[in-house]
Amino acid sequence: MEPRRRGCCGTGCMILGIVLLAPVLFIGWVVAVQTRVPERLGLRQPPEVRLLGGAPDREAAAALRAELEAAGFSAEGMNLAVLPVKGKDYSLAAAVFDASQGFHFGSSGGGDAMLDSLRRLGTGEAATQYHIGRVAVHYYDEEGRNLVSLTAPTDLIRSYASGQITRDAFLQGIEGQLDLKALFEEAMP
Amino acid sequence: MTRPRWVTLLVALVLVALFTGGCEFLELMLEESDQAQVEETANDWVEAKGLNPVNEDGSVDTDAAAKIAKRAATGSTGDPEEDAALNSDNVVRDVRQAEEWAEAAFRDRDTRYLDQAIALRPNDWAYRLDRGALNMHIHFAPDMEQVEKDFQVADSLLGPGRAERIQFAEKGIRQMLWVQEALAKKPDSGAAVLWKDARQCRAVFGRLALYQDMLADQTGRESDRQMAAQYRADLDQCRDQ
Repeated sequence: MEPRRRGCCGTGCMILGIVLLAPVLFIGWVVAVQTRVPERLGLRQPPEVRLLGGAPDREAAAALRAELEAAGFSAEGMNLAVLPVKGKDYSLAAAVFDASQGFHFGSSGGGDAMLDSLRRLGTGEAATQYHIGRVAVHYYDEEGRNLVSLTAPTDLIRSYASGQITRDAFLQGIEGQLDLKALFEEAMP
Repeated sequence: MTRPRWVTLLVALVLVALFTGGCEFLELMLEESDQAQVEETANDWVEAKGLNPVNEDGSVDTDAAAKIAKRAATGSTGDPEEDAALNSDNVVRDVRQAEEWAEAAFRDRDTRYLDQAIALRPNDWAYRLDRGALNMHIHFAPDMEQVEKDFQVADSLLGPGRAERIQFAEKGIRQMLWVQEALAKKPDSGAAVLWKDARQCRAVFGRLALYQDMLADQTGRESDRQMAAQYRADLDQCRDQ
């Protein structure tokens, strides 16, 4: 028995279906990735759990915190941890600045508070003493949303702090993550 | 002469209102200023990385759109360390929560808080040491198999870094001395209890010797090495009675 052949109309419908389905599948995939569905289902371990799960260095965190507070950062709403990076001989200094918990940069920063916080965490005495190899800073807005996260290796931060590279070159070397929805809402009147 | 009093009162009220309102206004300005700075830096970063999908003339920058689509689809920068760093706020939050549970465990003398801390931070040795020590501290006859397992898992989670090993050893020494002291203080027990169960005794002195040796390895201090030798000698006392 000969297989039934698809007519022109059938083929057209199939192509149209694929064309319509592809964007839907892509958007679905993006939403799943962005909302961390594979991690929630246990299909894969989040990178921060895989690489930053070790015991935090409490002494180093206290020293870095003291440096930031001395520079005028408010103690309120500031959370800090120094975490060994698995497989590396250095640690990550991670700071969360949460405006919803009363955080403010104070007089520090000179109008460039986020980059200033990277610079202070990456080039202070404590950074050298406690082998900080990378810094990450997270800013939470008054609604408690993570508006911006930035990270840079301390080598790059030192180059910027010593004037070897420009601000633009520094920004190019930084990696970041933005809450586009929150930023868009902020920008709207 | 009542009128000037009213005027004074009114002026005072206005001043108080201005002061309190002014403070709130100043605070609001400060917060807005912080957020504005952050947003400006974010915008500059987007431009520097070539991630703005709209050109100055309003046309679509396809390169930028492709970069955004790739990042959105993979959810990754391509470097696991950077990905971990960008999500490290989750770790900071978990560490804080686990610390609160650990404090509650010692305050309420309840190891169930530490079970929660370990579930949240399974690769953090601190809470294993805490649970082992607290179990020995609060129970007359603790489940020594569980205690020893906690200590062994803690050992296996320890990294090679000098600072981490020193912190581990110092915490371990503090806790074992705390356990030893607590046992000595129990009425009609003291050393007798410690020695009654040879496993408890071996755990205390064996661990103290191990941590002092670890400390000596990192600091090079002869006094730490001597302490380790002393604790090893104390192990001879550990016999079931």
